[in-house]
Amino acid sequence: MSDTKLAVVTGASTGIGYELARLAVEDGYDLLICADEPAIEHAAEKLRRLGGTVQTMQVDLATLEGTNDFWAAVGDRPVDVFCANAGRALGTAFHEQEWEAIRRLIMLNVVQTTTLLHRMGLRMQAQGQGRILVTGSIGGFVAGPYDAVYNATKAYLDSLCYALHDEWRDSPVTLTCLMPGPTDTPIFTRPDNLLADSPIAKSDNKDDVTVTARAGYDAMMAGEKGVVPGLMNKLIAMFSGVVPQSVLAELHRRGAKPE
Amino acid sequence: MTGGKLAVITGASSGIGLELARCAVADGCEVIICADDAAIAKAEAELRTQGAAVTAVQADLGTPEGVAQLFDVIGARRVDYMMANAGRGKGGAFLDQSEADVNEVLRVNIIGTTDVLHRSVRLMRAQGSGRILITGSIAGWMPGSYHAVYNATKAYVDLLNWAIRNEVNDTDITVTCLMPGPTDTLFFDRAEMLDTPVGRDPDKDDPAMVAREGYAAMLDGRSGVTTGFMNKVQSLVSGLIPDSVLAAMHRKMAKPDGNSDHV
Repeated sequence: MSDTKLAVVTGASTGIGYELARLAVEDGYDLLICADEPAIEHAAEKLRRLGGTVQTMQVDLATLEGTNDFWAAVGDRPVDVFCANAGRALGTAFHEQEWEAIRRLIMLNVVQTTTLLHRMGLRMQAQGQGRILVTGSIGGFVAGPYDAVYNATKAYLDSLCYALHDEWRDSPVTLTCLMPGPTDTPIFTRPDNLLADSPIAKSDNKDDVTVTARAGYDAMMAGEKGVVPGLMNKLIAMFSGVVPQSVLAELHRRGAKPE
Repeated sequence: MTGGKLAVITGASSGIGLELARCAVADGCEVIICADDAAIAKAEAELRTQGAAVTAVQADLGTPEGVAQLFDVIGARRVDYMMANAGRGKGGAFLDQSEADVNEVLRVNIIGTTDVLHRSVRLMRAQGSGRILITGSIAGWMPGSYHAVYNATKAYVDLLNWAIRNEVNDTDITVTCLMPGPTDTLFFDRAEMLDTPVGRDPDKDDPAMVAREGYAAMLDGRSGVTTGFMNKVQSLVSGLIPDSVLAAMHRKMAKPDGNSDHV
């Protein structure tokens, strides 16, 4: 057993999760990373070239079995950093989505994240230290026609994080919520979602994933409550409390409705 | 009864759900009521004394089987009003709760509610019209220190309501979100929150008043209604006050009196 520290990152094959894992390796952490696709091995090869010890697991966290298998892989090791990042979007109108796809989205974004937060929270409280970063979204402030359940799951995560940040305010464990705006990652173009034809997927105005991940990582290390990277996103987050949800919903419809 | 409207109310054995069923019966509706406890039979008997046609379904809507059971009873009938009201709370610090307790709240409030809404929107699109009332909560606008998972589920429900409402705005379906504040129901007892300031508060809202306002808002097709004066104030300021301050306010209301193992 080395004296290096362990960082655990879910959803780390691509996108924000991969970048968070990269920042942790550059910081000298050993890694346990997972994703539900073979690309996790390719990600691990790249990360190992940066000098880290990287353990991978290909696992479907949208199932309770997958979540339990992943927790078994964590074992009883101390965990210094946990990035609860795994999540998916779905796209299209609520009634046109298949129930099984909706159920899997909720299982992954809500149930799995909550379960691992609960287990990691207890582990870190017992250790007397630890840092947690949850990937929420500014989508949690805005009603999301044509991706209704996704935005609602992010509202859940944003709310949960702010509550736990308060509950743990005298605790040695920190919890930070990263609330990105639209970021240039594969989330819009996965074969199993229906966002590929939406204006937001085609927009070339999305945020740079390295900038988004860096903002989240730094906020976690500083123990901040939450971070909204990017000026436009900060404006949306600020106005979401002032502008009626009906207006925000209409804006979201324009971005997310398939053409 | 022929020509009458059919209303379906979930979580109708007591509290706001039972009061919504009373509103529907007083309005001349036939009702299908659902809850996971045996008290649903008592509610059925009481509503029948008002002369209404009542069908009771005892089912746990936190399970796929429970939702299927309710919709099997509905069958191919036209549903005029769907009131998705079933919900659960669980007080105390997140890390003091068992994983099973946390999952119970997620199953009922998020998975069950979404399943019922998904089936209802499809059913009403097929029949061409209908009215949906969702019981969200003012808690959705306020991170819930010492009631964290519950408040987060209501943030989910409140935001889902607005998105679905927007998606159906070119149809004759309406979606209304009832966002009560603390209401005098069995909720706080079941959530084991009687030892908290909010649980003890004698000035909680009357569930009959809350249900009447929600029912009227649904008939008008309004987007949302917050009931009670203090709740209107709270939901108004929730966009202006940082979430961290709201969470600290919630701590004062919901933190149990005893010492918690997890600060």
